[in-house]
Amino acid sequence: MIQSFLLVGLPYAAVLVCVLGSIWRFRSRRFSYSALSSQFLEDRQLLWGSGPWHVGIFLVLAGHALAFLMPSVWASLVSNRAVLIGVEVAGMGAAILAILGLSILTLRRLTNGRVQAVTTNVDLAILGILLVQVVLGLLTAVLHRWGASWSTGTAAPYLWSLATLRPEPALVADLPPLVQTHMALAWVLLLLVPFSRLVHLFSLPVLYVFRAPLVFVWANPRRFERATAFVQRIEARRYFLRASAGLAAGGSLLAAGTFEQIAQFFFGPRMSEKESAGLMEKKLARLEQNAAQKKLELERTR
Amino acid sequence: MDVRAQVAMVFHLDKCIGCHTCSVACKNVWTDRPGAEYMWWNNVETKPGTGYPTRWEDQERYKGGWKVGKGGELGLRSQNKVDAFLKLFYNPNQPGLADYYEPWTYRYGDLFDAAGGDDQPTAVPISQITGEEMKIESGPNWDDDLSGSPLYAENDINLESLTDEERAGLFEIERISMMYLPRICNHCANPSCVASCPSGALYKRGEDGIVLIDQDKCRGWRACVSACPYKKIYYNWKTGKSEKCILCFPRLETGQAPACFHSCVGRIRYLGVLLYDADRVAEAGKVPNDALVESYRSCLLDPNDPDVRAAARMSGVSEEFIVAARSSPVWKYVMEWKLALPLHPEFRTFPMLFYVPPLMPIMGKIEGGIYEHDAKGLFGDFESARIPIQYLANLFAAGNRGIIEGVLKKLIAVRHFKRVQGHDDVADEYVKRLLREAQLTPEQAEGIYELTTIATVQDRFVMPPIQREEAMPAGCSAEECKGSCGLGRTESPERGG
Repeated sequence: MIQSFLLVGLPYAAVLVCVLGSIWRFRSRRFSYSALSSQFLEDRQLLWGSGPWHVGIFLVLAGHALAFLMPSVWASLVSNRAVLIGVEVAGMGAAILAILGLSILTLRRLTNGRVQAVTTNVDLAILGILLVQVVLGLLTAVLHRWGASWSTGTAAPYLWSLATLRPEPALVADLPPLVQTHMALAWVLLLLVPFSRLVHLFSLPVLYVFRAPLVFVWANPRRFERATAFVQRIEARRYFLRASAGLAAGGSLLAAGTFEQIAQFFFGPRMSEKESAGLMEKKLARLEQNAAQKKLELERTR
Repeated sequence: MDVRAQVAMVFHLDKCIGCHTCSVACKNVWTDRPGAEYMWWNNVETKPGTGYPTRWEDQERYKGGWKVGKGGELGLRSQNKVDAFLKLFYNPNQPGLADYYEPWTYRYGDLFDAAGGDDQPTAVPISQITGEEMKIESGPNWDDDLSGSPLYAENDINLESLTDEERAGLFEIERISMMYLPRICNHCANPSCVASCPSGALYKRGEDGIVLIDQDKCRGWRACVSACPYKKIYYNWKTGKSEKCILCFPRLETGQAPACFHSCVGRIRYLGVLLYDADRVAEAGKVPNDALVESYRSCLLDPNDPDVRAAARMSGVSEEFIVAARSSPVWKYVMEWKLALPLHPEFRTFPMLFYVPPLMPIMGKIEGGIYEHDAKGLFGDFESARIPIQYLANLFAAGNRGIIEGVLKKLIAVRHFKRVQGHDDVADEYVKRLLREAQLTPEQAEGIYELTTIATVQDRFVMPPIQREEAMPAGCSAEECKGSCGLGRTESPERGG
C-alpha cells in the first residue's frame, strides 16, 4: 500500500503540486521569486560552496535526464564497457563535488551569523533533504554498481510509464530500498519546489541571450503607440514585403508547373513512327479481340 | 533620428556645502527599511577620498560600465552573454558588505534596563543585520572632510595620473583642500545596468528616461550591482532584490521635485528636460576618452530648433515635454554655457546628471596682518587653484584638461563681470578680456549669474507634467485607481523562502 503510494501517488501529487503551486505563487506572490543570494553578506565560503554544488548537481542531473529521456540511446551508449565506466566515474565525481559544495553551504548557513539572519527553516530543510538525496545517490552508485546500465530497464521505463499515464510500479518495485528511498525523496523535493527557494530553478534567464541591450518601457500606452507608430510602419512594410515575396514565390512555382504541363503538351517528346505503329497494332489487336468476343456473345444469345 | 526626452540634472559643486541634508531626506523617504539600512541612494563624498562603496571608481575591481572592444564595438566590462550565466552563482565583481559598511543601531533599552552599578549605563552599538553587539569600523561617510588623510584621500583613484608635485601639493599641510561630490543615480542614456540584467527587470522609462527596477521581475542575480560603474544599485539582502534611486518618480508625477533636490540647502540642484537622439547614443560612446564629452554633447538636441521639435513630435515626445525642454536649466548649463560636465564620462554610460566643477579656493597670503588673495587678480587664476586641473579633468572630462580649463575660465569671468557692476576695483577692459577669453557674451554671463545665485524654485526645477493619469486603464474608475498611481496591483515586499 505504502509502496504503491510512493511509486504512483506521490509522483503524480508532486508534479501536480509543483506545477500548480509554482503557477499560483507566480500569480499571487511574484515578488517572492528570487535567487535569494547571500553573496552580499558572505562571499568566501559561498564561492567554494555554491560553485562546486551547482556544477556537480548540474552534471548529475544532466546524466539522469539523458538516461530517462532517451533510454534506448543511453542503453546503447553504456553497452560499451569503457563508456559505462566513464559515465559512472564522472557521475560519482560530480556527486562528490556536489556533496562537498553542499556541506560547505550547510556549514555556512549554520555558523555564519549574517547568513543566519536570512536563513529560514525551509532553507535548512531543503539543504538537509538535498544533502541526504545526493548521498543516497552516491551510495546507490557505490553499493549497487552500474546504475547507468540497469536503470535503463527499470527506472527509465517506469518514468515513461508515469509520463504516459499508464503507471507500472512493478518495474521498480523490486529495486533495493536504498534506490526506492532515493526516488521517493526526489518526488518530495519536487513537491517542495513552490514552497521554497528552489523556485529559482524557473528563473534561469534564458531570454537574456536574445534580448537587445537596452529596455525601454512606456508607462503610458497611448504615448507608446505614437512612439512606435513609426517603427510599426517599417515593420508593416517588412511584413508586406515578406508576404509578397512568399506569394510571388508560390505563384511562380504554380506558374512553372502549369507551364511545364503546357509545354509538355506542345513540345514534349514525340513517339517515333515505329512506336506509333506498334501502338496502332496493339489497339487493332484489342479491337479484333473485342469483335471476336462480341461475335461469340451474339451467337450465344441466338 | 529617434528623439527621446530625459529628465536630466545639474549639480553645481561650487554651491555644495557638504551638509548631507539630501542624503538624510532620501534615507527618510526611501531606505529606512530592513535590508535597505546600508543603502544611500543619495550620498555626498569628500574628494579627494575613497567614497562609498570604498573605491567605487576602480573598474579593474568592480568591472562597471562599457568598454570599447577590439573590433571597436561597445561591450559591458562586467560580462558577456555567456559568462553572465556563470556569474549567476558567484559574481567575483560584486561589492560585499565590507565595501559599504555594516549598518548599526544602538541598544537604547540598556539605558533603562541595565542593572544597578558604579558606572553609567551605555547604549552599545548592535548590528542591524544580526542584532548582535558589534564594533563600528566604518560608516556611510567615514572619510567625511578627511582630505589629506593617508588612509582615505591618498587612495583616491583619480590621483593616479597626477604628477608628484600636484599630489604633494594636495597633501601638504596648510594647502590641503577638498570638495564635495553629491551623487545619485545618473539615469544614464546608455545604462550598463539595464544591459546587464539577466531577467530584463531593469528598464528606462520611455517618457522621461528614469531608470527603474521592476521588483516583480528582479530575481536577485546582482549583475546590475557590478555593471553600474557608479555603484548606485544596491542589493537588498533581506528581500533578495536590487534597488536603486527612482528619482522620486511618485513626487515628479505629482509636480514636486525629488526629495534630495527639494531639501538641498545650497540650492545646488537643477532639474530639467533634455532631448537626445537615441539612435546615436551607442555610436557616440565609441570615441577615444579625450573626445567623449564633445561626443556626448553632440547627441543632445536643441529644443529651440523647429526641426528638432518636429522630429520629437514624430517620435512621440509629448508637447508638454517639448515646452519644458525649451526652458530647461539643464540645457542652459550643459549646452548653452557648456559649464556642466558628466561624472566619469569614460565609463561610457552617458550619464544624465551633470556637474559644474568647483572653482577651487585660491591660495591666500598674509601681508601686514591682512589676509589677501593672490596678487594676480581678484579671484586669482585657476592655474594656482589648490585642487589640480588634472584632478578635476579625471573626474569630469575623462582626463581632458582643456574642457575643465574652459569651464573654470567662464566661472572666473562671470565673477569679475558681476564684481565690476558693484565695485570699481576691477578694470572694465580686464573684464572684457576675461569674457572674450572665456567665449562668453555679457548676456550669457548675466544668465549664468542669475541661474546660479538668485534662481527661484520654478527656475531650478522645470518639470513637465508626466501625465500618469493617461497610463490608467481606460475602464478603471477613479475610485478604484485612487492611490494606485498607475502601478496597478501592489504586493507587500516580503522575502520569498
